[in-house]
Formats: sequence, structure tokens, C-alpha cells
Amino acid sequence: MSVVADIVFWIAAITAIAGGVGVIAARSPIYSALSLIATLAQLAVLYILLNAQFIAAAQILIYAGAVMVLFLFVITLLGIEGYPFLGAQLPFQRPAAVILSALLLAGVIFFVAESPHWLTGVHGNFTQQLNTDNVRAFGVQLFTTFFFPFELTAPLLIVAMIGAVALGKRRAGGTEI
Amino acid sequence: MNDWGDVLVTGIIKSVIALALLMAGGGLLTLMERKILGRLQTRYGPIRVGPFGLLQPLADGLKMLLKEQPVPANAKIGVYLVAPAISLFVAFMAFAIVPVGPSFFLFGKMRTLSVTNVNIGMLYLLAILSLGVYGVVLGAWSSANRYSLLGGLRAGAQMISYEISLGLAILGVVVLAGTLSPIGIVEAQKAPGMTWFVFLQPVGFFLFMIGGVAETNRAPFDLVEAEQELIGGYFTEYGGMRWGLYMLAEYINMLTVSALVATLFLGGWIGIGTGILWTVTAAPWAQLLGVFWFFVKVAFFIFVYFWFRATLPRIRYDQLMGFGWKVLLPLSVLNMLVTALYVSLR
Repeated sequence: MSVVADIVFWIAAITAIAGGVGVIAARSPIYSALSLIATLAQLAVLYILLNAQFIAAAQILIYAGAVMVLFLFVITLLGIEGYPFLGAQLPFQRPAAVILSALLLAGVIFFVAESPHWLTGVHGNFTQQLNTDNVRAFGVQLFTTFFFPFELTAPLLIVAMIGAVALGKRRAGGTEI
Repeated sequence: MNDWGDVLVTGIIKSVIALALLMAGGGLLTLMERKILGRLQTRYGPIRVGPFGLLQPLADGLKMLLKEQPVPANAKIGVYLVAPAISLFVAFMAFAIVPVGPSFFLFGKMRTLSVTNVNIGMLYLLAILSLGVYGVVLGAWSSANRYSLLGGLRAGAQMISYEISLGLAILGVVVLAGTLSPIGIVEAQKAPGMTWFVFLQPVGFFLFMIGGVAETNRAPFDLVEAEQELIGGYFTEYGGMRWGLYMLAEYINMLTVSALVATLFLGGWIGIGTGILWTVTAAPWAQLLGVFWFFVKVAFFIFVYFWFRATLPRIRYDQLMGFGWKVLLPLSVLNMLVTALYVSLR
């Protein structure tokens, strides 16, 4: 079993990283978007290997099935696929990018190395529950242990949506709302 | 044989059988459609090739394979060639969880009559269905044709809009059955005190039917290929077998949606003679009877598809969007809430 899982893991991991490189290396935005879809799909495979089938399905359903489709709509409708990014740079963009990526990497390494994770720790016999009834275990955790953060995402999303609409309106009309 | 070997071998056998049946089924549906449309319009339909025109799909397939397949000058060739394959791949993948008959005991294990029985069945289905948009949008974009692009975006917007009510309609059944597995859902309809979900979820049934027809871009929701506005829609620039792949994907999707209606709302393989006979040691003919009832139900809904096409005029695009977002979506949310309330009070 572990051999098969290993093979699947390496294929998925290498494809995911190749997709990630493709996102930033592609000349045309549509190929960047396609690379991102490939990465997201491979992440779903990795989730299945972690016995998190619900997350895997949600990953495909939401990211690949809805978010990236909207990206594709925007890219194809605006017809910008012919123009490569010419690089309109902000001042100090490169040093700022290097510093921020270094911070992100340090954060990832810190959270991966630290064990047990205080942020995403295992609660009770969750692993065992996952093996028997995946979606039920996930739902129970979501609506008991993580109820507050779960409900908090709802106002967060609404605020983000209103913010996006407000910003878009102001830029289009030239007046504040 | 160890466990993984067993899984691999049964997986390959089931996949090959399912692929062969779906390809043949897709081909036969084209003949069935032309025959039924012909009868509904008081003409014969194809009768020349073979007895009753039965060899017509073979002739059509041969024609498509031998045709010249021109590629538009400005097409993005890589994406252009892959897009129809994405559509077909998604169509095949979606069928993988549909159980065509009762499970049985063979070589020391319970065997299901679906390609795979994943524990997140219906979620897997929704995830796969949501990927169907890519074949359409990418094919449209890579053709470098305005008509294709507009048709593709139209199709994409339509599929995304109706997917939501489709998913909520499925969720009503899932809540009632208490499981995401399609086999579990069929068995829940056989449990004491339960009946076919079409009687317990009539609103969900109609939501699913409408959403399913819209999801497969069939009449009266076939604005994607509205000839007078869009020429051929997203596959305008495709010819020969590449066009054939899109068509095959569409017909296989119809098979999948019909099979899902049968599974979710009409008790799947449950029928006269299978009610009490389904046990681990059931006789082989009881198995076959289950498969028979399943195919009868699927065939009925395929007929309904063609019936729609012969009867209903194509609706306008703004009507389609208005209906999807202002009627179907609130109705499906309401249906979901009422079902959840009923289950929690039971």
C-alpha cells in the first residue's frame, strides 16, 4: 500500500511544483491560469493521500470548478492573452518581493517543523474518525471545535465582496459611493 | 492476490467495460434521438443503413473519422486539440460512481456494479461536473473565433449557474438518505418506512431534471448552439472526429444525468422482483433483474430528453439566466431547508 501511495505522491508533488513554476514562468496569462489549475488538481490528489477526501472534493469544486473558471472568463473576454506581461513595476518591487517571500518561507518552515501544531492540532481521536466516516467527522469538527472561525468566514467574505464592489465602482465612475 | 492487486485488476476490468458501454451507448443515442424525433414529427428517421437503420451510428462514426479536420489559422493548437478530450474525459469520469445494479459477492469480496464506490460519492460527482466547463471554454477560446468565444462563455455561464441548484437538489436527497454514497442512497430508498425519493423530494426531482437538462446544454436550454445567433457555438471551428468527441461527451453526459435521476430519485436498480431478493447470496437472475430495471429507468429519462427537444422551443438567454438565478436557486435553497428541518425533527 505504501509503495502505491508513494508513487502517487511523487507524481502529484512533482506535477504540482511544475504547475507552480508554470504559473510564474508562462508568458501568457491564460497559460498561467492553466498551470494554476494543474497545481490545484494535484493538491487535491495530495489531500486524498492524507485521507481528507472532503477537502479534496471541495478543492476541485471550489478552486478548479468555480474560481479558476472566473479567471478564465476574465482572461478570454478581455482578450489580453496576446499581450505578454510587460512589467509595470512598483518602486522597490523586487527587494520587497524577496523580503516577503523569505518571510513566507520562514513561516511555512516554522509551522511544518513545529509539532504538535498549535494552529491546526489534532483534536481527540480525529484521525480514527476520519477513517470510518470522513464527511461526518469533518462536519462535527467544523460545527463544534471550529464553529467560531467557520462562522467568522461568512462576514469576512461579505466584507471582501462589498469592498470589491466599492473599489470597482469608484474606479469606473470616478466618484465615491 | 493482495488487496492492491485486487483493486487494480477489478478497477481495470470495470473501467474497460464501462468505457465500452458508454461509447456504444453514446453512439446508439444518436440513432435513438433521430428515430424518436422522426416519429414525433411523423417521419421515419434513419432507415436505410442496416435493418431499421441500426448501423447508422457506425456509418456516422466512420464518416467522422475519415473526414478532413482543418485547424483554424490562429488557433492555439495545443489547447485546441486537448479541449474536446477534456470534455470527454469529464463525461467518462462522472459516470464512474453510478451503480448500475445491486452489489454481489464474488471471489471473497463484495463487488459493486459501479466502477468505484468512493465514500464522498456525490461530492466527487459535483466536483467532476464542475470541471466540464473547461472543455467548452478552452475549446471556444483556442478556436480564435468570435462566435466560438461567445458560445463558449454562454455555455460556461449557463453550466455554472445551473450547477448550484443541481448541487442543492442532490443535497436534499443526501440529507434524507444520510449518506453521500450513491449505493447507500439507493439502499436508503429500500429501507423500511422509505420509498423512492421522487415522492419524498418532488421539488428536488424537478429541480434536478431542469438543472440536468441545462447542465448538458440540451433543448430547451441549448442556446449554446443557437444557430441563428452563434452559428455552431463553441465547436464552430471543430470538424470530423474532434467535433465527434464533443458530441460523444454530450450524449454520455445525458446518459449520466439520466442514470443519476434514476439512482437518486427513482430507486436505482430497485424494481419489481428485487425488493426482498437483494441479499449477499441472491440468485444471478435477481442481479440481472436489478440491472434491467435500472436500464428501463435510464431509457425513460433519455426519451424525456428527446421529447423535450421535439416539444419545447429554445428559451432566450436572459430568460435562462433569470430563471436559473431568480426561480431555481431560491426554490432549491428552500427545498434544502425544509428537508433539513424535516430530518432534524424526525
